[in-house]
Amino acid sequence: MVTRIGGKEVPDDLGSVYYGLTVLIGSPVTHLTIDSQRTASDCLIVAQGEIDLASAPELEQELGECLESASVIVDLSKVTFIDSTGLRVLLTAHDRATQTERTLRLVVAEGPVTKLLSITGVDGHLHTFDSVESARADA
Amino acid sequence: MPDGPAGPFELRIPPDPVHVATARLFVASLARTAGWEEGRVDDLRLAVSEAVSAAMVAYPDTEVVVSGTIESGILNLRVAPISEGALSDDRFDVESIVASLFDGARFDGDAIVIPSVG
Repeated sequence: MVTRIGGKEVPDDLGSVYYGLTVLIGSPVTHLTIDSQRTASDCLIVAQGEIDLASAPELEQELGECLESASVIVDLSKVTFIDSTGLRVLLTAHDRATQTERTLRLVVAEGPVTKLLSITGVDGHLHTFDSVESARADA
Repeated sequence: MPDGPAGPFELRIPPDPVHVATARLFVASLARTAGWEEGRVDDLRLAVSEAVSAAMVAYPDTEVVVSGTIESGILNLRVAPISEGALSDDRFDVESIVASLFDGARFDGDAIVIPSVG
């Protein structure tokens, strides 16, 4: 990896300070933690961190496994970043749930997830709730 | 608007999805240093993530270059794979999201260009 600012090459290490900028390069920085809990009535997936091209497959796999046996609630309230790669995973899971007569319910907080759902116009297509409790109450 | 840093910048990243986050971190650092408010920084992170992801999907074996200039808080940004040819046709999501975030954003050959935002 080569970084140039002002026509000069920035050393390829972590935390180089150059022209007053802190440039963090050299190590992967996508962080996503996924926990799942299966109950008699549903599967709860709790995602924390960033969902992008690198981390979306992990969420996709967990969704796929849960949807094989139950309806799913995905708690995205602690997701700090999501792009269309992550959105595509959610939409695919929603379609799969619908086809198998299950449901996919999303728990979202004000922030990156609600913003992306809004600007892409899919907020009315997916089932969203403000807490796990309200998502379960809607079952 | 703070003066912040000035001059051209360039970040070359390997075609590995883990480095999409590296690109986000890089441009966010530039924008914050240039005095952008946090909401606009978040929009920029999303736009760059879309552009870099699209480039990596279209050209999975090619480095991606995030380059541009920054001056007086104004950022001109270009994201492009180091390759010939245009991005694939499967870019509707990217184009619509970037266009929603930044007026005047456009596709120019291999690149998604976000002009003069700040």
